Amino acid sequence: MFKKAVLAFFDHFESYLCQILLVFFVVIIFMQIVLRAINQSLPWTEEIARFAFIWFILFGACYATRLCALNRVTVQFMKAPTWVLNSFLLVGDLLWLGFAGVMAWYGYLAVLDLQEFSYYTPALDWDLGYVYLVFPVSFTLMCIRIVQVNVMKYILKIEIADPDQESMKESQKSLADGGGEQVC
Amino acid sequence: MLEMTPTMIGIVLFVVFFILLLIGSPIMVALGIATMSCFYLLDISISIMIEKAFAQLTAFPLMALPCFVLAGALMEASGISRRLVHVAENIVGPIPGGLAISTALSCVFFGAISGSGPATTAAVGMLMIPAMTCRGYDKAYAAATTATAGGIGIIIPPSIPMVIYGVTGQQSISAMFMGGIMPGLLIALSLSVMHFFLCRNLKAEGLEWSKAAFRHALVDGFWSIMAPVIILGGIYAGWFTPTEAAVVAIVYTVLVGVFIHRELHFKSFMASLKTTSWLTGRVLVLVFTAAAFGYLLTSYQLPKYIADWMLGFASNVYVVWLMVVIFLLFLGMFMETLAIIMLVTPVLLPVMTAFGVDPIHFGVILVCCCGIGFSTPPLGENMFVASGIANISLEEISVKALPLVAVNIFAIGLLVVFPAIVTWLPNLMKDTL
Repeated sequence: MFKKAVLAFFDHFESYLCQILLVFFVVIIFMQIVLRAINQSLPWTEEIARFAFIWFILFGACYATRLCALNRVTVQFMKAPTWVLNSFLLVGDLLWLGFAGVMAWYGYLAVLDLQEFSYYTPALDWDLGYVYLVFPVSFTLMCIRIVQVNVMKYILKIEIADPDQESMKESQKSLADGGGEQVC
Repeated sequence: MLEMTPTMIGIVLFVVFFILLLIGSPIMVALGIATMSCFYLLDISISIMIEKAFAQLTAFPLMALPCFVLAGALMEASGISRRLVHVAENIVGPIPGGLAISTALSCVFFGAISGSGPATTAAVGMLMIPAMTCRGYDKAYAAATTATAGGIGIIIPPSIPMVIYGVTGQQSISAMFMGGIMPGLLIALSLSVMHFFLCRNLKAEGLEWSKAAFRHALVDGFWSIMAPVIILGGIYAGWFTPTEAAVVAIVYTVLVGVFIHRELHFKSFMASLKTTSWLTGRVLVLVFTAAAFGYLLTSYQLPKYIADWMLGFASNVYVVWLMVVIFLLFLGMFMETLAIIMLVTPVLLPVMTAFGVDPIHFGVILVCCCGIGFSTPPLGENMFVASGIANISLEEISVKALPLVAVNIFAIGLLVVFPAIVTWLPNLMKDTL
């Protein structure tokens, strides 16, 4: 039971992280607007919001990877049999894995660089190396997600639902719940 | 290392990109690997990709995107969208094609709170497609109506594609937002005229129009109407930047949803956060690979070569426009909107400015063309949404959408010939921006 909960947590890790970061930077920006209105601006609000934002995006990309939501052009396979589509997608995913791996490696180098020649951010006085940590961490996670999705798809034979369709259904349901009246 | 001419770089860049696109790898990866391979050939360190990513992904204007997506999701959950559509529904009386026209109008209203085409189609279509079919409209026509009108959602501000254009092209997002208003209205008007013409013989009852029902919709929808007033008014008055306006909209929506409409629950709030995370995550990673791609293009002055090449056979700006619009409409059939904008802006914006076109004018036309791309097969997101709601095949919708798409293209033609329609409002408000 406990093992299951831990696994579920790691499966949704970036989703939770993104939700927290999203709420965080929305609140910070709102605070900035309110404080500006009463002439009490703080110098660091914008900077911390921007740092939260880059973490949000890169982990959001990992989340999108896990959901198989990244945009691709697949109309050219419309008439082709499934195995053709799948084998091309697999090649595409391998290249993607390589790309994410290279980005993770160069991200790691950039962090090392910043450790050697420390750079402190202007408003918060943070070590920029910590902010840059997002690159190696998120791109490594992306690699893991790419492998995970392909293992689920080809080895465990788990059908992964199209997230766009899912969210459509969701809003249709919420409309019905929200008292969408009968039209006829 | 071999000496590379700009033409060779351009060829490598685009060939690698298209091959990867064709085998179906994500667009972000296709752009990233194409750029990376050029950096490798040019002996430039790939660490520049990380630098570009950091610079691009911490841009404050870009934060408008997740904020507007979240605002839209919350507005749906808190009943703001539904009431707004009701108001639009009640404005047009029982004239021929009345319901189809109110669908276009609903999209204008809804476009003023949402920045996305498919979201507009979904919100309006779920109410209007059933309403139209049970009043005697053809189901496919009803679906085509919503799919084409949904494109207005990205032209009327706020607009996510305009945010992306503003960031990639380094143009004022506020000016883009203003530039979108008149074209959005013009396209809605031209669609309405077409509906009026196509439905002239349709014996469909319009909505029974009564003063009481109209007043009721207005009173019920008061807080919903205030949402676009706050967003747009705040930007136009110069109180907030677009990003801040989106944040204010989120806070406003949560307040209205919890305390006034009492429809926003904790569960739907969390669901909105979740959807926003993956939706923006997948779009915004594209931004940095596209930025690196664009950086390579511009630092080797490829747009200049394209402009020179075009000047070789087309000295007239309208001929250039014609080619550009056809090219954009063609791309729109196969590619996703934001990817088109990120890809095309660094190449075409310098070309168009070289021909003396105003950047805002070009941006608005670009967004309008993408708006059509939503409702042209094989990849038309709005059509997918509409066909999902109406339960009808894409082919049938495409046929019914043809005259509507045609009149939409005609409206774009007008915008090209009369740039003042686009630039009038931004110029008027230049002082406050």
